[in-house]
Amino acid sequence: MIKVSGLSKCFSQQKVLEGIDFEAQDGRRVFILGKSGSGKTVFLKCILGLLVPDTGKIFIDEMDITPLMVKPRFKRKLTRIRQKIGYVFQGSALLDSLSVADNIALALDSKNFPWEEQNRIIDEKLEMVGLERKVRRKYPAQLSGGMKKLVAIARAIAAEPRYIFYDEPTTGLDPAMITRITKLIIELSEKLEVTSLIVTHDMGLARRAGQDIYFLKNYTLSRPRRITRLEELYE
Amino acid sequence: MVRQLGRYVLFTMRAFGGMGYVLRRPKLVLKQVYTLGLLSLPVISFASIFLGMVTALMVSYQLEAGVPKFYVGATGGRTILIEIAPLVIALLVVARVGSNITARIGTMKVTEQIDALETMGINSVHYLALPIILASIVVVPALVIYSDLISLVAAAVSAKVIVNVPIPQYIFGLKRYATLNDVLGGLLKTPFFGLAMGSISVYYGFQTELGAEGVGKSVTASVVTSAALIMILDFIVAFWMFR
Ligand SMILES: Nc1ncnc2c1ncn2[C@@H]1O[C@H](COP(=O)(O)OP(=O)(O)OP(=O)(O)O)[C@@H](O)[C@H]1O
Ligand SMILES: [Mg+2]
Repeated sequence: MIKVSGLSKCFSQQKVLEGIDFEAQDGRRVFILGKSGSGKTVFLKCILGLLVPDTGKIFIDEMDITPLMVKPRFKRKLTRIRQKIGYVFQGSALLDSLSVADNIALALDSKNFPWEEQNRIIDEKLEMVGLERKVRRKYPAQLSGGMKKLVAIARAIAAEPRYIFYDEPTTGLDPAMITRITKLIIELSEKLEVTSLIVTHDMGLARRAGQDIYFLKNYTLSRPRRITRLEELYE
Repeated sequence: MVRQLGRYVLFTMRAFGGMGYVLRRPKLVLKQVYTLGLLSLPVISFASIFLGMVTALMVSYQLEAGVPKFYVGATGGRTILIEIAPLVIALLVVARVGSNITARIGTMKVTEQIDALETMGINSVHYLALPIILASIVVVPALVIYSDLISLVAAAVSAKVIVNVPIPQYIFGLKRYATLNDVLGGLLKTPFFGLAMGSISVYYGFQTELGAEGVGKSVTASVVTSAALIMILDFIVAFWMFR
């Protein structure tokens, strides 16, 4: 379970998040909806400690990880906790200099698997996201935006995380790819029994795949009463 | 300024903390040696030829009539070995490779690739910065040796063609007056040039701020700082060895 209490974050003078309380129950697909610039990405990065919150506590599986973010000597411990989380970045964030296979292998870097085992996992994850084996040797620059997203998802699930974070998984994709990714998010959450945390401004995605829905507005999170009235909340 | 310096030193020390990690993955360094070396070869070859030619020309211009011709080899060759090749090549490497390193890492920063590494449990400074720093320490000296050879040959040939110094005389002068101390004095500083260029370039790459101008700003700062530091180092070595 992920629990956040009283989280605040600002950059120099600009307030982005203030006093956020949040909970993601195990196995759920939790959505956070908010318009562009509302702080969705910042929120996800705070949970991982990629950005250090100004105030508040973040619990991952009952453990408060905020103290681990500030002291370098806790880095290893923080790393171990981060490995419970797979993160699909907004721009996919595949390493340009590495092939698809090597990108996925990066997620297994700390596990020291033998080579064959690593290869098997790469194939397995590519198949799970519905990509053919031949994309293994391609480089990110040779992939379409949608395929990059799929590879990013394969990389995020490679180390068998308990949580998957998706940052705008459908933005900038065509309708067919949006449908495919929506299905994939649902399928992965059921098959792998992971907890999914999805931030997006895509209402359709939230309506089709969401189980718990939060709304990020005016620096803080709220829960809409009914999913059918989602659009109104957006105004 | 002082704070920047402190942060830079701390960053470099942190990078070297990843020695164990990188030693277990030597391929990371080899890949960088290959990339950085290959990037530089064309420009270094081109520059070395002209360096050799212009040195021969300038030296023979400054020699007075009556001075034996082999002095072109003696003075010109030594100038190349001690000073011109190491400094000019290091500065060229800064322009060609250092800027590339900073831009590459800066781009990785703004496109969240560095965040991605961190979430996968990989220390981005160990994984990205240290292999580049180590590769630079190897590549800069190698390029300077390469440039020494090319410029000496170019100098000998142009001494013959332009100012009519027979090649055997050039070689005689070089052999007679260039000492091991000269060669070492030129080469010993180059690993430090490499260290300075590599560490400053990655440092500014990692410092890149989000936004459109971020990468450009980092590249400029990186190139200027590396070049300045290399000239300071060069002076310190000259003062120490040849005073
Ligand atoms: N590293 C940073 N330094 C300074 N300001 C930042 C930083 N990251 C984000 N911000 C600011 O925080 C605010 C929220 O940014 P964030 O990226 O979280 O928005 P978002 O909801 O993810 O938007 P989008 O849908 O466009 O991705 C923005 O105003 C942004 O300028
Ligand atoms: Mg965002």
